Amino acid sequence: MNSGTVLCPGCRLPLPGHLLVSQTLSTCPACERRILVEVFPALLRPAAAAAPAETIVEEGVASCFFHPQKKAVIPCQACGRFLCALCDVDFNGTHLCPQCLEAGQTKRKITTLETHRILWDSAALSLALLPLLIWPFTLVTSPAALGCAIYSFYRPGSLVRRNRLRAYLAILMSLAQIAGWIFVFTDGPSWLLSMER
Amino acid sequence: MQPSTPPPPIRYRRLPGTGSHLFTRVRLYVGPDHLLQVIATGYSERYRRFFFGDIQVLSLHRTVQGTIWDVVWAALLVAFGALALVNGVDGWPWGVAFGLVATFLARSLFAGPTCACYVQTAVQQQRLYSLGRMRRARKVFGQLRPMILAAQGQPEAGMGDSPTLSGQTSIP
Repeated sequence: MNSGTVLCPGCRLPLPGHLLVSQTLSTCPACERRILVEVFPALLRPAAAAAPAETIVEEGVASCFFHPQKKAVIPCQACGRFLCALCDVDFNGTHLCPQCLEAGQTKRKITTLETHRILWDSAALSLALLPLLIWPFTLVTSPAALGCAIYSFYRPGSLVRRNRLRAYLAILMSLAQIAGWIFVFTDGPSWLLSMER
Repeated sequence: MQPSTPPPPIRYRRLPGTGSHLFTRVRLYVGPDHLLQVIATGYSERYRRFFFGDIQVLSLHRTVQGTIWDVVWAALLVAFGALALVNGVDGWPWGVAFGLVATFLARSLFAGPTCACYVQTAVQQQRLYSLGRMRRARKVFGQLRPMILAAQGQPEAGMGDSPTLSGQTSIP
């Protein structure tokens, strides 16, 4: 995608310039769909060229951790290692080394790099509720739901949902089911007999 | 240099609209410096971030999906209404169905025409599935505009005069 090119949201063909400044519904000349386009200054911003890493020519100058022959220009804001211009990754204003960037994504150390999360609390609640439709399954699923709910407290939850309501509900439901099964296997038969009398 | 305390969690504000795509539920959230599209399957969430400083274009085009649904609801409304009238008092289930369909049709008509929205950065053009109605999309665009402009700075005086945006030259 070239800088300065605006594609029609319908047909993906480049739009003529007069449609981009109108700020009202207009018609794409290619596909004749009604479109609205809002253009922002970043469209005309030239792509930043990568600065070349400078070679050290004098003694006493800090060198890059990854390229000892290159001059350090900035420290990594996560691990503090000195980085040359080549190794410096500017991630939305935060300067990171490639290793920290990778760790941020794989080990979930940087929230804004995370692309996926498993919702253990939702899984626990489903595991506690859905098997009630075929209740004998709760003998197996209630301990599993309890385990899932407890595990969810040790794992990061949703990025956008902050409360732990689902986990607490799952714990309550699964404990009630476990208590029910304990009752059935211990006092259940004698209680039924006493009720019959 | 290693931070001793973890950074505070990012606070997100939900934007109006919920969409669906391939058995997933899609919602939009606004963070301090980015737009977050959350694609939820029920037991997992996938995230797409669009930083305000990188957003080049917000665009939408009208779709006929809403009109098709309106026609379907209207046809069902006529059918259920006719069945309710023909069956008289015994046709109360048709009357209930008539009421339900009338509610869906009214809701669809009130929501207005449908659209497909996109966000474009230097490297991608992604659809925003949660914005399916024109009115809602324009409202959300209005909420996002000041945030994006604050992150990128106000447009330069000559922005409209540039060869790309003035329409004097065709874009290759």
